[in-house]
Amino acid sequence: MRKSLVTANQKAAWVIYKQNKGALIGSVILALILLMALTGPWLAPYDPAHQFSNKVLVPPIWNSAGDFDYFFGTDDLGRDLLSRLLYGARLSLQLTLTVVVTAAITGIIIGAASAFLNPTLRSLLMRIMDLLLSFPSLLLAIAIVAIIGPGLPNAIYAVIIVLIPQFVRITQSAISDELNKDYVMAAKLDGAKRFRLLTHHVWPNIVPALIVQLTFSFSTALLDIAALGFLGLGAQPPMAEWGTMLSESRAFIQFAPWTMTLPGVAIFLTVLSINLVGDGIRDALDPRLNR
Amino acid sequence: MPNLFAAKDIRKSYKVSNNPLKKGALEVLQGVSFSLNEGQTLAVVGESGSGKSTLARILVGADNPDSGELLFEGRNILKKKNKFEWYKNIRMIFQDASASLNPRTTIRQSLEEPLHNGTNYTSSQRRERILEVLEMVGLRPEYAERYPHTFSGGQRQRIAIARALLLRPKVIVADEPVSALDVSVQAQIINLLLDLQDQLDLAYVFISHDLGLVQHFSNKVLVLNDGKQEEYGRVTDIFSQPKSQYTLELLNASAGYKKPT
Repeated sequence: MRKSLVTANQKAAWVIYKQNKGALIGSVILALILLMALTGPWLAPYDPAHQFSNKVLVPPIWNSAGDFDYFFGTDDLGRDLLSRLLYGARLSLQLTLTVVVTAAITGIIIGAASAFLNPTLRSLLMRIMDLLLSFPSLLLAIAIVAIIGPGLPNAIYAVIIVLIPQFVRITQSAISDELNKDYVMAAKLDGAKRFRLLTHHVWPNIVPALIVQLTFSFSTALLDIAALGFLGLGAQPPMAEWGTMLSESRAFIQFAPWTMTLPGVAIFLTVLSINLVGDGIRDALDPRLNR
Repeated sequence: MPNLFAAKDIRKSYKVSNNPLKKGALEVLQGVSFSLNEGQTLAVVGESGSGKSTLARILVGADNPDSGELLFEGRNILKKKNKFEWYKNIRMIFQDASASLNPRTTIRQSLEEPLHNGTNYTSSQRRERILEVLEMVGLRPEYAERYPHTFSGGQRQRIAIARALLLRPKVIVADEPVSALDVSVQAQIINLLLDLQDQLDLAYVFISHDLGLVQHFSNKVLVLNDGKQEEYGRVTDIFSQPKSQYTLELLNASAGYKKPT
């Protein structure tokens, strides 16, 4: 019976989103970054791990000593920074996507399932989630990596575990808010069973909240993965990962600042654009903020 | 011949606090009884907080009473395992029609729900029935594809009435169905309800604080005061000779009501 996914509400949301300049700028930057991540291997002039041993620490082209063969210069091992950044974009976004999607699906399933639990068990589950949420996400991720050991797969598991409680919490609270509304009672008196209530009536009403949470989780996940890479707990050298690139170039910040600035700017722009988009989506979907 | 719908000594209380150490309960309904036949209207009147809405919720099965009996065609429906017979025959019209419609689904999807759960209709039969009730409440068929926020308050209340009618109920419980509407629209909705009653021989339980309306609309009246059943009987009797002081005060405080001469 469901006809189109684009409803009148969503059209109105799009109108509000378009009026938000920050969100539009964020969308453009994010689209460019995504495009670079997708086409990275074809755009990149060199293999990101190839070391040009006679071209160590070449500055980027805007520096008078720059070399046009190496647009963003090279690092201490003579690897082309542009290639590494492009491959890094691909890797970082892939990891972030994996982490967020896994965490979101798990968290939403747990959160929705808790609607069927008895109240005591549910509040026990929610207190466990609160406990996990009470730690700063990075600290918790570090603690988890410390327990299960460093390395990229473990860092991914850690960030997933850190993100799950946010989704459980938001799903559960959105569902319990909706369950108290009149339209749910009306549907119940129409004979809808609990499962049908959740899938047909409550679910369409909590999707906006989940989409907002999803965008903000993207930036948290990206930052946490980069931070773990920087601390040497995540992606290991010579992998072209933005956080790892930052930490490798730390020693050269005095005389080759570009080696550290460029991955930093890449992380910054990505997180900023995701947050701008997230803000825009939140404003567009929250009926209370509608003008 | 048993009455169509009757309540016997319905009681309900709510815990004051979730804290198990704090005792005490708020008694919202302290023994409410009435009976109702086809084509009759029972008005439940009282101040805000007198338990009117709680009674309405209990009657339609949205809430369980602590004790008492609800008899539908002589059988106690509270005892029955299968609640659907109950939900199907005794339908609710909510006070706030916009809150009772899912904001993110079309009117058709909202109206499909009772048919989907309560009948074996094919989708074309459901479609037909939806158009049929939309016509009964005076709405155009193409309205089915629209979303609730695109309607006026009166239209939304008509949709709520259509939803209540879908399963051919015998009793409709209306919790202040017109109190949120302006006066001219109120009259339209009331007339619609009266027409439907004539056509379908419906029994109404009509929750209201508008005594003028009650006088015009109902056969029987039940006066609630703080959960206590203050008075119950025929409208003409109670409005001309109220036995309780509370009813008299209620009548004197009401603007719309005309004293029978």
